[in-house]
Amino acid sequence: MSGALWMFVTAFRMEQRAMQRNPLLLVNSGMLPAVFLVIAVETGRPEPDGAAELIVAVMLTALWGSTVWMSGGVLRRERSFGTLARCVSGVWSPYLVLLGKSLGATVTSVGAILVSTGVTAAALGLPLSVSHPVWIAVSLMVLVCSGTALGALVSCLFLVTRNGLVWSHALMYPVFAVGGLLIPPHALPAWLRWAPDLLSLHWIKDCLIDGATGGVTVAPLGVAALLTLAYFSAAGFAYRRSVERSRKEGTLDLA
Amino acid sequence: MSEPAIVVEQLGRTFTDRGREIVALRDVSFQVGVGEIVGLLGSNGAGKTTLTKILATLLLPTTGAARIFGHDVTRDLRAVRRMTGVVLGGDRGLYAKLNGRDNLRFFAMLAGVGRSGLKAKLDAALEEVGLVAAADRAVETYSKGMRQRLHIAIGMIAEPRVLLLDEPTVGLDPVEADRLRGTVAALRDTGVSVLLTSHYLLDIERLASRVIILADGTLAADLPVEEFARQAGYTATVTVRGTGRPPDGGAVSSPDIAVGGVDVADGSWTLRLHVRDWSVGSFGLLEQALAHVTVLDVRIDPVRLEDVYAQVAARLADGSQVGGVR
Repeated sequence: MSGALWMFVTAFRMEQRAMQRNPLLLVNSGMLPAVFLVIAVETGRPEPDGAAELIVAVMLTALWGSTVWMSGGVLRRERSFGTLARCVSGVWSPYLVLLGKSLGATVTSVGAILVSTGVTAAALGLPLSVSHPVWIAVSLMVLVCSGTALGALVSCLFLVTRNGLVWSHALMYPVFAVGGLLIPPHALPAWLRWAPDLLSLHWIKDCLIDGATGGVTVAPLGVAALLTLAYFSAAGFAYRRSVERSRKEGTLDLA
Repeated sequence: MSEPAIVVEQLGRTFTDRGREIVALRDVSFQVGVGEIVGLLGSNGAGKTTLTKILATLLLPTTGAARIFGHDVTRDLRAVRRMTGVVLGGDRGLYAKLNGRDNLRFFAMLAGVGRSGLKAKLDAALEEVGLVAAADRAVETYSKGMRQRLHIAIGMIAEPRVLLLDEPTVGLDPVEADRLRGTVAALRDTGVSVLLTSHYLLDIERLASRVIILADGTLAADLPVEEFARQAGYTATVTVRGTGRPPDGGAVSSPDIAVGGVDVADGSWTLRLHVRDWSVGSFGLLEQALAHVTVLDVRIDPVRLEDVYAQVAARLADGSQVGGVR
């Protein structure tokens, strides 16, 4: 295994271990989807063929919350621990370390959300159908990559501005509202219906519902993958620029 | 002649705060040789942290240049980072929820330690700083001294050729502090160069061969330690305590001995004498001055760098010269 890959894997494992001791994991990825699902079912029990849509929507909504708090908070946590300077001044690309950590946080979050949603859905008696397990597995992989990239992108806010927490919170609700996860895009005003198309989670929702109900189409997965690549590129560019800017302005504290 | 480990040439750094320019470093130049330990001194805000950050590639200078073994700290980042270790004082800079070994492993990888032999290196580093028994405990359970020892292991595990040590003995008990000084001295003997920032002048006294003093961002002095010690103007302080009538301080005053002061309180007196040079004459003067008084106690303290630095700092604040640099 090359040194760079080993560094990536080490960063991934470090973040996973740290996440498992973080109470936010329980709240955002454990309790939140369960609560969403209970409220949604109490409000109006879905028809059997609408259960998959509800479960996937709740999962992805919880994932976006986790992305902002967990993988999007990687650099915020580094800054608060006083480890940021070391992370960006190692011999490996700082982006590699950020991606490893973001992936570690996303995988842990997705795992917790899947368990929480599955257990709650079973307890509520919602039918869990899996027509195309391979398709669902591929969609989940794209979901993890997408969450990692989005997390890295959100994380950069904490290098660009000292008000990163405020900005990341400000990003959370527009995605909930217009991301096409909880509110169907056709229910949005006509002039805003393009917005969900920019969010990979919206396309991954279609893929997961397809995998659960049967009608598989490749296009949504392709769009989700392309958007994910765009997020990775944007995150890489933003991170490198942010680190350079911090070196110029002297905002990287030694500890 | 071998290439210096650290070369700093007319280094300058300016920060802008709400349109106001703040000069943190101005035209600072010095070198650190291979296997040399240089103490970096200065009051808070003198520019020590700014200089350390630039050498650690965390901050870009506004003017001038700095090189580590010929590698520019602004351009050859990977090469500089491979050969430079940084040890920072304080409680932060660690993952508190994770154990010491995981922390060390992660930072070792970041510093370029390869996978092969990593475990042996981790064990050796933990052994070196006395953290083997606590290696699998969460860092949040560590004492301040244990955290400091972990910082030291992190800074040294990649076997850097240059070490930037910032307050390395903060939080260590005297035995551990002495052990660390021994480790740093041993590293120096293997050719590692060290820039040592410390407010514990004992560290500088025991380890450094030269002292660099920054004041208001400029290089105020660059002296061998012996010459720095001479800046006090004396080599030892003799403190005499007694009862009854205090001795006449003026009687002992000579080119070799200066009176530091006489304090009288509760029926006893304390006379402080600064001795520049021990000679037959100075002993004779002391004997005469103390012949007719009741002496309870005599103490002789060699000059401490703390005292020297206090005097030097006061002179710098007045804008005076130190060692002919400023």
